[in-house]
Amino acid sequence: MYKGIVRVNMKTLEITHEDVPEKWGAFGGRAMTSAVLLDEVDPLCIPLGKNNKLIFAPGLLSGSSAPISGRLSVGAKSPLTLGIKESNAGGQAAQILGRLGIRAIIVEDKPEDPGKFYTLEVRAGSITVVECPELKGLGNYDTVDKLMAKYSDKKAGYITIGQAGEMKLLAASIACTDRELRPTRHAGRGGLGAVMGSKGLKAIFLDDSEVSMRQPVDKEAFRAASKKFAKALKEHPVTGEGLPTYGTNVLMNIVNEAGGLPAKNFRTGSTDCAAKVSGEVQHDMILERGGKVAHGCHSGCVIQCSRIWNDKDGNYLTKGPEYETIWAHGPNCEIDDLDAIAIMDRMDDDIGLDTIEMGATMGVAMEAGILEWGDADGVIKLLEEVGQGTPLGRILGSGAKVTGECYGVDHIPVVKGQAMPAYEPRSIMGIGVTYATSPQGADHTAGYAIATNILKVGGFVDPLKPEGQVELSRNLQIATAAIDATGLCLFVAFAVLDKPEAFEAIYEMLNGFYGLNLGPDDVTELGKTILRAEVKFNRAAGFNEADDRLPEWCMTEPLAPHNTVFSVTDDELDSVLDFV
Amino acid sequence: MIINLKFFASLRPYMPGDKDESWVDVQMETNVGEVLDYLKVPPDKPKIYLLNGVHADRETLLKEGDVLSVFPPVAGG
Repeated sequence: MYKGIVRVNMKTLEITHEDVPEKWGAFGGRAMTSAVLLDEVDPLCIPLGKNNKLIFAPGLLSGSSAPISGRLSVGAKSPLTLGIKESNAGGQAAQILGRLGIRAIIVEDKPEDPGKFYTLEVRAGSITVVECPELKGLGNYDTVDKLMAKYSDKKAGYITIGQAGEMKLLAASIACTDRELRPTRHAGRGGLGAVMGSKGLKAIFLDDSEVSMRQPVDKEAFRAASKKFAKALKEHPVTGEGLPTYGTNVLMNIVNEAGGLPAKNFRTGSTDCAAKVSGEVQHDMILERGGKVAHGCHSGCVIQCSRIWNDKDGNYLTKGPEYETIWAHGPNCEIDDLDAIAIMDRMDDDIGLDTIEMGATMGVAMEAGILEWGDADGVIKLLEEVGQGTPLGRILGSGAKVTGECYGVDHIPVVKGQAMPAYEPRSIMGIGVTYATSPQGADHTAGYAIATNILKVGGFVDPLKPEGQVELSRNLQIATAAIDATGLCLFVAFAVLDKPEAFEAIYEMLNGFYGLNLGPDDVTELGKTILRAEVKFNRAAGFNEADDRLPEWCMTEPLAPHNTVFSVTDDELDSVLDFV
Repeated sequence: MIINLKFFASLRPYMPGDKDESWVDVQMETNVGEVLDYLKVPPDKPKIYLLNGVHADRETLLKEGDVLSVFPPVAGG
């Protein structure tokens, strides 16, 4: 077992091990990545320079038998937002790191020769860095294939970047392999693949074949809390039935019917495209082709919202695709062909791109006239250009903001430089508050107001009115930050918001595992601590109130079908994170 | 009066004629719950009722040309 903190210097190739300092002792996942960034990284540093750090941190419960506890936090100063970033991914990486006793891998500095790429080999007995010229220029799928041939270890995990990360494009993601060793689960947001590329780190091989599950301090208490948690997830109709049956894309129809689906680059709130690419249609197509619904992206998942998508011939093509991906490449671009969208998803995963950022970018590209609305073949050709690194491909691979600015577009859907996801802030105002004020930039997962605005989970706050949205977003941002520290999948929140015993079980699992005595207030305080660190980092990086705003057109251009504008006031937005 | 009725996800089997939506002729003063009862949708199955894209409930009265979209508990993200 390791001491907890592993530092990898990519200039000297030295690896050092440290005990977890007391100040970070209670931290995991996002709490750990944001604390390391605040303590050790100059907020004014150049994101792709030697002074930025890239941190991989499993959650507090990752590697244990706690249900659905395998989420990985990846942190760095973002080259996309220029602020603090925690990007969260599923797949096997967090469970393996947890079992190896690693609380954080901190990747520092960068190679003197920018053309060199390395693989970090992480085993129970040793951690080494080896040069990997044979992987240079490969996409994530080929990279993992070559690594599997080299290490031939079925009980392993891989964290990799594709060509986008090597080229240090701002939409570059970091891929984590799933249980089938496919690079389908990405730390997508914020361009952290570019940071990994800047450090010359092409891949991380994770081998936990010689270690076993982490053991709790109080086995009985932990087992009882885990059982209570799993039962609550199974009993809740969303986590126990809706998500496993239809996956995340079950949202397509309801968000569209509610007039909250950003269509045609956020020009309207509903579209006829939606019904053709809905979760129901996807579900039926997957089963017809021998794919799989109810698939878990990591060991220990009890929700199973992932799916396996086969092509028309019944051969594996990609996972999901997920709702956000289908929206971004589909209705946002007036594309209504699930097969074409699945190809785009596969390409994004392979090249190593954030699917939300790339779909939003293609919408902006259509707005700019680079290609026609609905041109699926054109999008696929442009994605090929991103992978090839042509001049246009590099512009597109740098995201919606860069693309829009290069082409003189005045309707660019970003906050803090990051593309807005699949919900319209003008007709779902709670999510608009989160987009505007999250230290992460426009990020639906940072405070998922859709739950209460649209889905009636955790109560109901009218999405079309400004009243109640600030409090809703604030509470969700705090709760989300805390969940992101545990390694639990954020989808547990649907049960937690409705079932008190699910929330109790979270701190009871932590208590049983670590021998602590946490209560509900401690969970809230953990969330606040994380947000305080992130806001402090951003302010030192030069952010102020003006950065906590939506694009001007959200307040001035009414959105069909409800003809609303975002009407939460600036003063109210400035009060969202008033506890920092 | 004619209304446009749409069922989604696990409610799809309750739609007459094996379709995802239909146009139903209902009497004046009919509310959301009464239409669903008529189509034998168990009252504990639907969770969200959108009338012309706005959240409604079982007591909301319908009017000519309304679009009623009905969902079981769903979520994603």
